[in-house]
Amino acid sequence: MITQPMTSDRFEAIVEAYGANPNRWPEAERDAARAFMQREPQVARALMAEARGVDALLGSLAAPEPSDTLQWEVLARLMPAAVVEKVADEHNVVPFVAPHRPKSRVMWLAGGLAAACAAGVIFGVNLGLASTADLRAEDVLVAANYSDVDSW
Amino acid sequence: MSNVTRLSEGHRYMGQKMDSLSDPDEALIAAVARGDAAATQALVSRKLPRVLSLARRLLSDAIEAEDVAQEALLRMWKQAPHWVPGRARLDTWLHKVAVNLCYDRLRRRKDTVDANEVELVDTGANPTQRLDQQQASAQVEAALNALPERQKLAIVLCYYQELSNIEAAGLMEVSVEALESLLSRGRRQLKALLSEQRTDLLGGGPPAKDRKPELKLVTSKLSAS
Repeated sequence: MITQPMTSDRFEAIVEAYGANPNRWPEAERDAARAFMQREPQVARALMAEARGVDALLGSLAAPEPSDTLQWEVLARLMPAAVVEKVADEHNVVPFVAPHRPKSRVMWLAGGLAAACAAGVIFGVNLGLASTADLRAEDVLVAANYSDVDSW
Repeated sequence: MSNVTRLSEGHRYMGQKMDSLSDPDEALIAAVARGDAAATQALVSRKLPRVLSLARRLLSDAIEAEDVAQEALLRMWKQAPHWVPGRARLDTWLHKVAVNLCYDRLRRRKDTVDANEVELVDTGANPTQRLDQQQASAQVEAALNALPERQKLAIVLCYYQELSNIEAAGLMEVSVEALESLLSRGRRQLKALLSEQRTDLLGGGPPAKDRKPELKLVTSKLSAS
């Protein structure tokens, strides 16, 4: 079977979609694309330069690494506690066994804020009540003074 | 806003696409199914980073990504005794489960962002300061989040998760041609969104006085409909 050499259009389409790294190119077309690079180095270089810029942008996003805590949490959910402890013992670590952790730390934060708000409201109301009581006491005293004056 | 659509987790479709590929995890999943603790440990070590990375990219939330990673691995572990070799690659199946878990959360959150919600803000408080790696990551993440959902998923699967085009297309239930189109459009849009910042992000940016406003992600809460 005779295969047609890769066209410039197809090479461009591959680079635009998959980037400049040949390892990401479709496996079935990788050899033909490399052959195109040999055959048309200037065209290939120009097309790949643009794609390299986007690759570099994408590559600047750091990959998250799972913490040890997360690893142990997952193991704790998958295996019986005794087995997890045995595995942890082999690794000389204390497993953090928390199969049912809170759905989100935001909930704890929200709960804390709600409690703080409630405490503030209660404190404020009490303070308000105390102030109102003081004012009423003053009114009574003033009224008493007036009545004393009236009685003269 | 683009629709967040769950992917089918059935094996049939993926099986048709994946027949020609051998699964390097077959022996491992068989050992997990037998209750082998070491195999379970190996499975977690091998798969957790990839699932966490996928969830982190799709959700842009570290805590939610950890929850999704845990749930996806738990489902894989439960699936182990019922796993039929040759019908699908474990990695592809796991990716599909994780993507669906992420989409469920995104749908609940209702805060997907489109390109119109990325606005330019002049942050010229300290124009001589070069953007550091953290800022660069944040800007790229914001631009990725601004892409339509399918374009973002295609880029995440092919670039970050390093799935082959056949695997990614099978997972997304589209043809390879459609996947390529999503990738090209996604990369073009990403380039356009970050064009002003590109020289800075890659180093060797213009003089401070010539700097353009930088990208800022604005997340809008969309009402449930």
